[in-house]
Amino acid sequence: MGSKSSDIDAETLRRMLQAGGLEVTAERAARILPVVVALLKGCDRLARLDIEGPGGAGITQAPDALA
Amino acid sequence: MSEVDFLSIAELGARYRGKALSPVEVTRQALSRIKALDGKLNAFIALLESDALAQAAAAERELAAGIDHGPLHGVPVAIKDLIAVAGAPTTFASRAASPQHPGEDAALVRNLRKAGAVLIGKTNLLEYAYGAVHPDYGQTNNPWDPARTSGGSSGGSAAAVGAGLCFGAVGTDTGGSIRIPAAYCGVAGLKPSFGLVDLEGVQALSWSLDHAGPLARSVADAARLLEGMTGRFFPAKRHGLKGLKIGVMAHPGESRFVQPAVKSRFEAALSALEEGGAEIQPVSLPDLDHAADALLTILEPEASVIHQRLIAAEPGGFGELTRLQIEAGFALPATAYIRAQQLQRELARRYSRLFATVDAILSPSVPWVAPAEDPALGEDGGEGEMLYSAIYNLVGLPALSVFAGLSPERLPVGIQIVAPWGADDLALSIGAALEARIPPIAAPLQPD
Repeated sequence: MGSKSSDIDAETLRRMLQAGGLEVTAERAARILPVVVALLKGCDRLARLDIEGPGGAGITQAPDALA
Repeated sequence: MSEVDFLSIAELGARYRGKALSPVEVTRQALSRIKALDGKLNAFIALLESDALAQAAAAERELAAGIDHGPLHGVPVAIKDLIAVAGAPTTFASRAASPQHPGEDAALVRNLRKAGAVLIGKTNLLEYAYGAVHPDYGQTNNPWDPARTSGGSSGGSAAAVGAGLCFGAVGTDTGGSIRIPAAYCGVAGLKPSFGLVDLEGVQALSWSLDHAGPLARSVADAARLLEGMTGRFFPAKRHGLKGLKIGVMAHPGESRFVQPAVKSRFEAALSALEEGGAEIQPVSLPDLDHAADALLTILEPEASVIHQRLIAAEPGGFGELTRLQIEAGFALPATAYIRAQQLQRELARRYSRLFATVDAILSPSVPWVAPAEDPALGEDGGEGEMLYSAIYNLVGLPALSVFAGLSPERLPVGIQIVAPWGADDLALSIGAALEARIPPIAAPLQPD
């Protein structure tokens, strides 16, 4: 894997999908790759943000507690 | 066109109670109009003709006996076809695990039945509400121009209401799927506060982001439908405009997408609200340009888990574009999901603070008028289409799209009104005030 999470090839993606719970062929992984790369670029952008607050249940918690 | 087709729910109810119209007569007329026009629109997947007529007959008998369930009594409404209606097939506009035959109504459907609504049919949608048309079901076309899309994913519900095929419809919204088609079709569509409408019996796309809500030809009708769905009261004229502070949210990147006609209608809406006594002021929040990234980073893995068994068992049942999205979600790292949740909570906190300085927030609903086809999720056009809507799924705030006039090519433009969490009635109230100044127009679609 490269320096950014979006720098992946089809075989790497096939293994990532497998780890996530989906078995696909190498040919199918190649078809999925452009969609995943676009999503991972978004993940990279989020990783560059400096947000210190909590993650977790998010807005599903009482909104009053967010103020 | 019959003069009945575009009546408001209040006017329909008044005519029922004055015995000038009957629920059976109106339901027959709606079914007849659907049969005449839906070949152009493709808004309905299933008509519930015999059940609807039986419900209408029961509603008529009850009214005659002095039993009145309220504003929706005997009113034909449509349900997006991923919401369970007992005895009717649910297709999700997919061939995967479709159709299903639920034995019980979804909670919101149970409530609508209690309110006396007549369930006239199940409406078309993007497959499993996930951003793409399944080729076997096809696109729902726009009642203002059938060569264009009605939007998605609740396009069938918006088109049905806009074309006068029913008096209200239920949609769902995970990134804009009520508000985008509402804007394209020139109707009112509310994504309520997160958690307000019970989602039991509604097919999930993303547990953190899903909402169900009403689409109708006026804000008052949408309020009546929301009351029917929840069993709660939402007066659409509780708040006046005088002294109301309305923030105009700056969205990074909007200049890249916004069409001049949308900008012009938005400015006209602001002027109308100002003339009514509202104070308009610009507002901004940091990191809104990352809302779409956060939304997709939460939505995709949640949707993949929701569809995990099905994508393994029946991958070919999904259309290719939906299948690719479901498969892709399995590759997103948990760390990215948590970062997206961090941003979600931080943005919710920032909005909560912002509402200490303004009462409501305005923006266009979509940067453009209805295009020929829906842009694909995850692509540039998809990001632009969700520019104004996705953030409010993330932060769970009530967001209403209302009609704000026509573009020069006579296509509807929608304006989005956002209120604090739980203040759905305020969004409806401002929408009703805007509507009084810029009245809705009936779509021109006619049978051949």
